[in-house]
Amino acid sequence: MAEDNKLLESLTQSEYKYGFVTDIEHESLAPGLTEETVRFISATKNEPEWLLEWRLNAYRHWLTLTTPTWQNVKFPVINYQDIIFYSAPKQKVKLNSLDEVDPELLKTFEKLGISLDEQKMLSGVAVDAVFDSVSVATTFREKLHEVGVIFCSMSEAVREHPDLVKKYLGSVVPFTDNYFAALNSAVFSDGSFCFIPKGVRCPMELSTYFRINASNTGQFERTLIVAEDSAYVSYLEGCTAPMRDENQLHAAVVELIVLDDAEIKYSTVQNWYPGDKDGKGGIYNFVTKRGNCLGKNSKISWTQVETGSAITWKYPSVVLKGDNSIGEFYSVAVTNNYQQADTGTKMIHVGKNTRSRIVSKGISAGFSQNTYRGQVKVLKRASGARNFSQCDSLLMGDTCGAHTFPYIEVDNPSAQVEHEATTSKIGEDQLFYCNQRGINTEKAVALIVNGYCKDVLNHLPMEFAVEAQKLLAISLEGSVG
Amino acid sequence: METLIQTTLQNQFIAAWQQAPIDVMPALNAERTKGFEFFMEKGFPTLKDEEWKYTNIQSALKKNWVLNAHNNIEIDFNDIKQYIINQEEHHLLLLIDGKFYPEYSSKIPGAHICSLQEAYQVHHELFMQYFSKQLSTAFNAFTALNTALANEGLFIYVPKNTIINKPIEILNLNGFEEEDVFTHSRNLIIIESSAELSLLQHSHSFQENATFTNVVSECFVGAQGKLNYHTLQLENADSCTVNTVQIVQEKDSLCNTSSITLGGKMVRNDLNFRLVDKNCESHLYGLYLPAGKEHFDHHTFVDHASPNCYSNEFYKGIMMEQGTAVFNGKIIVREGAQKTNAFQSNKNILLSSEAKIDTKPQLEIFADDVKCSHGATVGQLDEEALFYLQSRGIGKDKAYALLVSAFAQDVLQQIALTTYKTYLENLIEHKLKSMFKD
Repeated sequence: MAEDNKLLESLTQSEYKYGFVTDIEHESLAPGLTEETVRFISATKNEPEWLLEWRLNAYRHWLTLTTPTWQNVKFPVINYQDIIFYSAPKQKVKLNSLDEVDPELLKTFEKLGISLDEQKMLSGVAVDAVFDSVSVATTFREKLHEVGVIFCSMSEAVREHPDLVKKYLGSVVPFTDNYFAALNSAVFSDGSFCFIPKGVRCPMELSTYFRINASNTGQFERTLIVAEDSAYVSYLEGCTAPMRDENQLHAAVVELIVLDDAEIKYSTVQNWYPGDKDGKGGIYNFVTKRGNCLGKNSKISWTQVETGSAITWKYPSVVLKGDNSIGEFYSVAVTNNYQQADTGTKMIHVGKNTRSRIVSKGISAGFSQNTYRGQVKVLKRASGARNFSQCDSLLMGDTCGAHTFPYIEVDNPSAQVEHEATTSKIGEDQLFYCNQRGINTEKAVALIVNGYCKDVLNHLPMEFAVEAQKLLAISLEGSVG
Repeated sequence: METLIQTTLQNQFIAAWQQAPIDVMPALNAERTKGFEFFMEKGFPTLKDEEWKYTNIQSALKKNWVLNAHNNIEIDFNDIKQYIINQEEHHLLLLIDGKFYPEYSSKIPGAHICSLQEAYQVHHELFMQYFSKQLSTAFNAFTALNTALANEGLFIYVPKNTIINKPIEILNLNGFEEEDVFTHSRNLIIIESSAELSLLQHSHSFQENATFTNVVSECFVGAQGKLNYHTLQLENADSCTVNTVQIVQEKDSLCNTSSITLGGKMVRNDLNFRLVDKNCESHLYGLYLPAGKEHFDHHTFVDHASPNCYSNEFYKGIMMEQGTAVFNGKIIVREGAQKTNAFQSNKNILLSSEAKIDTKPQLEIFADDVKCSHGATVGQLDEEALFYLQSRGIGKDKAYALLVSAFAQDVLQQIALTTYKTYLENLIEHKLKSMFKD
């Protein structure tokens, strides 16, 4: 009941509530991208030679590429020379406790609802807060340290665990993978690194809050999560960004590696600034996310709720290499006003008896375009592969669009692949039923949409599920006339 | 080497273009020039082309193709009799390598039927009104080339309120020439308001030699008109076909199509529907059984451009041996096309470890008050059903054949022409028999 009241409260706030800019001194690089930029970033972070070399290779490869054109989203040509590729909150000394953190910064976190304090500890969440591009504070380090879990920023991982980083970085998403992966590999500023050793079940849910703050700063995060044999981790990623008029580019890379019998559960709630009612501003979210089920009986599960960003363009994927491995993808993508989304997943079945499941729910309203694009590929060796995909679209209003592009490629006769998709609008009889019982149309729509997304929301960790429900309602506000 | 052969083919196109007698169908010259220039600029598609992602056309072009000059051919009717399905129940039209032979064809009361060139002269106004006017998609290499170079083909015109009493059987026989020919042909079918027509078009190879057929058919169905269009492709294992069918439906019209592909090295079908006015109904059925090294590619595109229309698509595939198939079904519901119901289903079974299927059902929807769905499955025969049959003394191969033909029945039972249906059932049984020897 209390949740319902909160939902109603949030419904009445129509403006993007996370729109504010924190005034902190930034150490920014002049806009533009050259080999020097790459060298500067690497030097600033005191990176070893091999990483610089890797970045430079990526940069040189990127120069040979052109922006892809197959996507079902439209945006003006991005001038990479206008983007600031590095921006870090000024901080020279390494901090040991929260007291040392810039109070201005802490306030921002509080406004965002991320309090690095007791509350979070009680709820069992360790937060590695990424403010712009550098991790400034990491909590629960010790508790994790006890069980041998490494959870730190990428720069730190490069310094303290270079062998692990060297072994796994780029092993799932090589810099040759695509345009934005190449760009990210060249200029990634920071990110999170997580390593769960053999047999360890991570005692708490790990969480990173990303936040784009500095104007004109492209964010190039790099996340790498490795789960060794029989390990388990649930990782949460949530995003908010302040209101800005200029489009901002976010091209992150997330790599997951699971070995024998291990499992990674990766959940995302993405609520970046979607632009105003006229489609002005907003974030470009072009992310490459991929997991590799290397070991047998391993499992990767992606759950995402995408309500923000002017453009969302990403396909969290799973390569099912190990025999009997499982890949899952649960997604809710909401677009309103002039938002565009082209999202979905890829399930590549390589090993025997691999299984994958795709549940995608798209909701489009206003003048938005919402696309599901997914690939299920069963290679010759993958006997006994099994896939089930379901992608439903809900249309609200006659000016939006919903599109489905599933690619099914089967090369093995023992595979079973099923795909189904439906498109419809909210049933008038359902609305009528609610209205008749004194529930107004706006609330009824929120109710029906939440029911429609239940299959996906059920897979989110509890705290996220609550937030996601609120987000859904807020995102669709005003879309019912 | 490959490029050399292709250049030879291209040079033939250029030569044919330069020698094309401009006085054959002069009013088409502008459109033809457009087509030719498009082809010269873009060339044949490659695997990088989204629409040709899974069909390697380059390898099909890798042969010493000779552009068909459409010389007149002496035919002994007794040689071709065996290909006719039923001359009593159907009217017969004969096409040899895409060229219409009226002397061996039936006179059909109510319909105006002639060759493309004759139609240009006799029905000039009608011809110009429809020819190349409503292709759903912009040119691709094959439609562009066809527009530029096709001089032969069939013209069928059914005037207002005319119902053709019997189905028309169009027999396409290919490969009469000595060489391996590359043929362009073009058909134009116009059904005026409240008229009805049933077509049954089947293609066979006459001899052992290979043919490459690039055929474009345009069909216009007027208000309250009705068209049944059944096609069967059964050519030899060296022959290639690129078959583009464009159907445009006016208000309250009905169109049923079935597309059965049983033979050919590389067969590509593009079936495009445009529903330009309200209350149209379209049914698309398809069945493909590639075996050996055959590759069958079905692309369908239903363009719901106006409200209150209904479309239903059902395609099934059975892949055997090293057979590969592609299904790409696209439905677009345009802005304002409210109350659209569009359904699509594609089911496949793979019967061998070397068989392959790539299926891609697509929905693009720009209106909200619609009901659309698509489904695609890939699987194999039910083990339990196999066991059930075997436990009752039916041999494994026979049980296989039984289950496969049952799978195919779903599509076949949608065909209303009983003679044709029986003919198909026999063909499929024959093809399966060679796979599963008892």
